[in-house]
Amino acid sequence: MNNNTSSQYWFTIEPYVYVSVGKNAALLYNTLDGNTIPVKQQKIRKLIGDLYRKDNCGVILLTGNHIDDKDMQSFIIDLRNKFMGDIIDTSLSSGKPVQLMPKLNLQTDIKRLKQDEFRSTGEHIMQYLQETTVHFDNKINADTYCKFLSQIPRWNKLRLVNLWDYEQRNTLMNFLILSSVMTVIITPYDKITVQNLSLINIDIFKLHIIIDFPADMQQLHEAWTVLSGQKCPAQFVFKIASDKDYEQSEIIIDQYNIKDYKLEPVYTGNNLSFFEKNIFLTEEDILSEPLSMREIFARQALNTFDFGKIHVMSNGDVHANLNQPVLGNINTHNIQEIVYKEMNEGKSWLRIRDQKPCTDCIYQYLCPSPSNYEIAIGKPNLCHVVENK
Amino acid sequence: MIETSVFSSPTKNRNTYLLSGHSYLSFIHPALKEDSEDEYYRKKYQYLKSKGFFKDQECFNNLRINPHFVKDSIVNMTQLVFEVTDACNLKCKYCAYGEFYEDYDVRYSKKLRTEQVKPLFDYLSDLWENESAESYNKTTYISFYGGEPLLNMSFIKDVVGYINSLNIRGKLFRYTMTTNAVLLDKYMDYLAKHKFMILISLDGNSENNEYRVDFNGKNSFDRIIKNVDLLKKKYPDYFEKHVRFNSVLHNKNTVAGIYDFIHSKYSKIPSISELNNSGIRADKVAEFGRLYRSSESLYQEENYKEIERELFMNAYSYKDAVMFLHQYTGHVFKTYNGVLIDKKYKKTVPTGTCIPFSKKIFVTVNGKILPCERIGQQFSLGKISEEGVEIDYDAVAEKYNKYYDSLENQCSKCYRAPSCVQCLFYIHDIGNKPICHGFMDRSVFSKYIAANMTFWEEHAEDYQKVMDEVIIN
Repeated sequence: MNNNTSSQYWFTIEPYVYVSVGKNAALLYNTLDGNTIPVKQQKIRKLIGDLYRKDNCGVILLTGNHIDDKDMQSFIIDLRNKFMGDIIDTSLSSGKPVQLMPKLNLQTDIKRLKQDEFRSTGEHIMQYLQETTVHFDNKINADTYCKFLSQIPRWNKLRLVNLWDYEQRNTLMNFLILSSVMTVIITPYDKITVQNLSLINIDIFKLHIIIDFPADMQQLHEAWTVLSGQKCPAQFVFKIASDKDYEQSEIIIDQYNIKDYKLEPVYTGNNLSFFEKNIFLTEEDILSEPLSMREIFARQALNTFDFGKIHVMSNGDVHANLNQPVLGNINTHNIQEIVYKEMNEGKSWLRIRDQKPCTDCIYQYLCPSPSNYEIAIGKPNLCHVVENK
Repeated sequence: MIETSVFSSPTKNRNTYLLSGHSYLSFIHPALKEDSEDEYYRKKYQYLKSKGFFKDQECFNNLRINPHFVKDSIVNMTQLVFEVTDACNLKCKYCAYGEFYEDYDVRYSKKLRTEQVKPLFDYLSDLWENESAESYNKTTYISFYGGEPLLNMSFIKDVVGYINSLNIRGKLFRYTMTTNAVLLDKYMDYLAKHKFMILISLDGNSENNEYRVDFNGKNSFDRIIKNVDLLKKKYPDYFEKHVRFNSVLHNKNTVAGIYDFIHSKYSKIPSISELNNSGIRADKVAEFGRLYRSSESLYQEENYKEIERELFMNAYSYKDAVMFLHQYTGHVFKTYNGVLIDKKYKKTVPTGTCIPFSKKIFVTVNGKILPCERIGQQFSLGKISEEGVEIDYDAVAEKYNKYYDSLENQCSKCYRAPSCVQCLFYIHDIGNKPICHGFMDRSVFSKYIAANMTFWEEHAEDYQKVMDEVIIN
């Protein structure tokens, strides 16, 4: 920086820097490398706020007063060292530049479409359906399922829960094989038998094997033996509710040298301390992986856990999230109506961090979307970040 | 291979910008270079390089379409346009079916008959009822185009009656019409009752409108104004919400003149079209050239800034600059899936041509089926006959893929390719040895970036408005 106070500079921050404004502070977040600059001083926050004034369009003229200020100098040096912004001598320009600052513009945002008389909030909605989970018992016949499933888009992933107890499973499986729908079968390990697996010896199927604790090691060993003789790909899903469960899962993973597995925390209503210790996020957790600008925008627009997913219950009721109200029933509604309802009235796909205390927090959209744990625990945020940050 | 990162030429304000991929567009110090003498900018260059900037990129617009694309597009189409008649009660000098052009079927004052299009309705109803649509409660526009559509009102009434009798779950319909308004007095009650959105062709004041003449060469202006005034008086709410104007720009009017007249008389902002300069007869090129006026002529006018701002998205300059912003800032997403899924390397088809029928189906008075009314009628993709609708999805896909193939050599080297807006049907000799005039090498693309950023430097205060308010597509 030239210390000649007669110099003037264009000040800007890079468009790959996400600026989050909290109640008492701001945070500059570099989406290329995850680097941050917290901003608490009022004058620096004002400087950044001024960048967003529509007449400034991302660029401010820095004059002698700004440049002489030690805090301002220190901020700009830090910003430049992290390649998050710059000051450029105005003598290189003959007029003001612009910086098109990041701002999510979702053309088919449901709120935008609702305001436009000539557009529909049902536009493109079937593109959004990515995953359908069907929970079986014997209340609905296979023809109804096949009719419903024939409406889902080609790219949709299907997940079947409790399939082995469904009496008309052969009809359903034949339909799925003919349709070539990618299908995951969710099964407890004690249902892994040679007879059951013989149904899915086709490459469109994958198993997700659920392991609850305490696990029956003898039964698990039998399941492993059956699986070893099969080609069907399998992922093990360990349901963890305590440190003890976690330790046992590690033993199983080591013992069988399991490569494809997932640890899924389970809230039982009695294990809040386990969650506080292991699941609640700290600032370090939130900043541990760099997020792209698109990923931050995604968290501003939709729920990254729930979006595109529906559950069909054994009576045909459909939910976008099992904790939220019914959207329709496959006996009476077609798939478009159900997806339309979720987009327009639902509480799952578009559930974002738009409630306090998250709205006051500089990590608001750097945090993952709200999950089912927030609903189960009854808190809008599961973190150790001090409120009013 | 093309480079992903391109420095702009200097803007009018001598500022430099760097565009990289589809998600980074930034004002930069001109010293930001690999071999910069300034150590800081050398390091910054290396930093950006380590994050994926300044790499070469394969061509991602080499996707080809398959028959499913065609069928899905028909199921989900937005607009069904009928060339209701090829007859007209005016003989406008610059008519797309007139003396300057050669890419349309011979006009015999035919009228489309209801029984002629019945097979199309059967075909579409079947698809709409049995195929899973991408949208729900989305409006499909049924549009009437000519000639002058009001010359075949019985057909229009039949179609409206038929469509209104349909009861397809999740399907809504609206009616639109482009008219010269000569017969508006006769049919305005019907149009208002059915809430037709009408686009009235009017080129400005009486002098501006001199090419819009009847068969005796008489200017249609007085008749049109009388009818439009009557419509406004009789149905003021309908007029406010459902009536728009389109003016064709030529050597007897100006952007400012058109805007002043229509805005002051009807409080409407007109859309302004340039004359279509493709398909011109060889012996008429010189005369066409005399008539033609570019929308850029606006900038020769004294108060162009105010007019341009008033026209906003009806001005070509705004449309182009907003399109640029949508394509290159990385902040604009068409759908929720766009923001959820990383599509940095998603393949696309070459050119900016719509996937066939994805926007509309155009049915000519001769029963030809085209993907758009704005392209030459030699590009028909099917027809309606007594046997029914003939659209061969495989053949359509094959035809488009052949067009794409013929452009591949140019598209693979074009810096504009990833965000191309060029319709291939406007490229001469498409399918054989076409030459795309939208082609941009690195140098031209640098100037293209500079031109757009000059626009935004001059319209900086509109950036937020555009981001908050404008929906395209």
